[in-house]
Amino acid sequence: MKIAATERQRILLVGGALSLIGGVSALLIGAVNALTAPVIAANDLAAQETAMKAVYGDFASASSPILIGGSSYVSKFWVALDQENNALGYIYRADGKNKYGSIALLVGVYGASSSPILGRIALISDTETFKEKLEDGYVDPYNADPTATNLGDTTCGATHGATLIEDMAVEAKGIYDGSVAVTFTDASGSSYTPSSVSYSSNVNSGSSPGSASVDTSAGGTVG
Amino acid sequence: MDNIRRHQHQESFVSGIISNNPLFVMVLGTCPALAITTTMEAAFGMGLLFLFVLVSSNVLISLLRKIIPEEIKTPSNIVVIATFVTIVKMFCSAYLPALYNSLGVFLSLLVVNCIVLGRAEAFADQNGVFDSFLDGMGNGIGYTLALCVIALIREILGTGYLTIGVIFTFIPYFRLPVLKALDGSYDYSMNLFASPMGGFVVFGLLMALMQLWNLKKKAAEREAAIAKIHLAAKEGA
Repeated sequence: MKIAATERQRILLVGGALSLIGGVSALLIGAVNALTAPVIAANDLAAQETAMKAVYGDFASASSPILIGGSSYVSKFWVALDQENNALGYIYRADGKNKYGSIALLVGVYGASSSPILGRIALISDTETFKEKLEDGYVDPYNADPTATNLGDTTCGATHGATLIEDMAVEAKGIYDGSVAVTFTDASGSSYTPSSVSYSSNVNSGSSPGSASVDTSAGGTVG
Repeated sequence: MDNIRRHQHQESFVSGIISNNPLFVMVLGTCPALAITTTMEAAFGMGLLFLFVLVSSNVLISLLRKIIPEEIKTPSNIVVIATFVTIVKMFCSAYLPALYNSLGVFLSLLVVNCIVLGRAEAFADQNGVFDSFLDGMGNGIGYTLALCVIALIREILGTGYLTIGVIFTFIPYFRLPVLKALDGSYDYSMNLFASPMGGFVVFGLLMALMQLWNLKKKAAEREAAIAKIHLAAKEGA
């Protein structure tokens, strides 16, 4: 089938106009991204540090992050240290999405690898539609109770968001005790299989965190 | 001629603020209006970002209206609006992170906001750049004012306070006790107004008031027109 010259011209005009608009938009977005990306990264880092302090009250510093592969939500973890360089526990970073928005959080896990204990949860970002209900009815009550080690009822008025947080916490605990199969990569890029990672040698085995001394370099603490 | 043009410009700007307010009269953009009006600061921030997106997209769409072929007007408009929303999101995330977190998904949803898309299709596509700019300003200010009025009522009735400096962190933190004492000695706040249901109630009441005002205005205009006709008839007789 042959396309008429006028039709071809029309197609080219429409294609050209769309390409022009798309190109200009891409340039504009690229320029603004180059301008704002470092500021956004610095904001995220500051928010992450604040969140780490919320997970462990005695938090002073963290080891280099260990990247986690093959998991649904958890992307990395750190060993949290107090001022005397004692290990407080692990901090896991988890990101999740559902139809109401997305959540990024840090969750603490400590104790013996055979019976891990869930620490506090700190939200880094929460774009859920029912974020107030989720935070006031689910996250805040758990964090406010120092004796609580299990998350509450997910039917808090923001069931989907609460279930997402619960799933993230369960996965972090699973990675800690080895029941969730994942891969680990340290700061130098070396990969480890889960079986080569010894948790209990790094984090105290008692129920209250903060006794074991930890080498702050990632390679020394894990693997 | 100049007078007619000036009147057109004035009409483009003013109609969006009161007589054709996008929220209270046209009932557009109601989802964010109910979701983010729990605090005055979030509502004001949303209003400003909305104003920027609306004015920028109106101006650019009006500029491009003679270049863009008819059959791709709508996709082109969506690309232009999405570009400005993405830019606003990036700037907001970088320089106003508290506002960014507070608005959540509703900032991204500006791409499909009926008002932005509606003004682009109904006005900017058919009018000059200056008129489109004024139309964007009028509708943007009208929407911002509407959000702020709802938020002011909801925040005061729902929390008992008017709080400033939580989202715009460059402003010193200030909490004005209106219905609830800072020391808790009295508390007349009603949690209902902080919930979505309270949002619907406030929105409905304000819409009714706006309708009443518009009806009274129309009735007064009709009376004046009838009086004018009677006077002309009398003079003719």
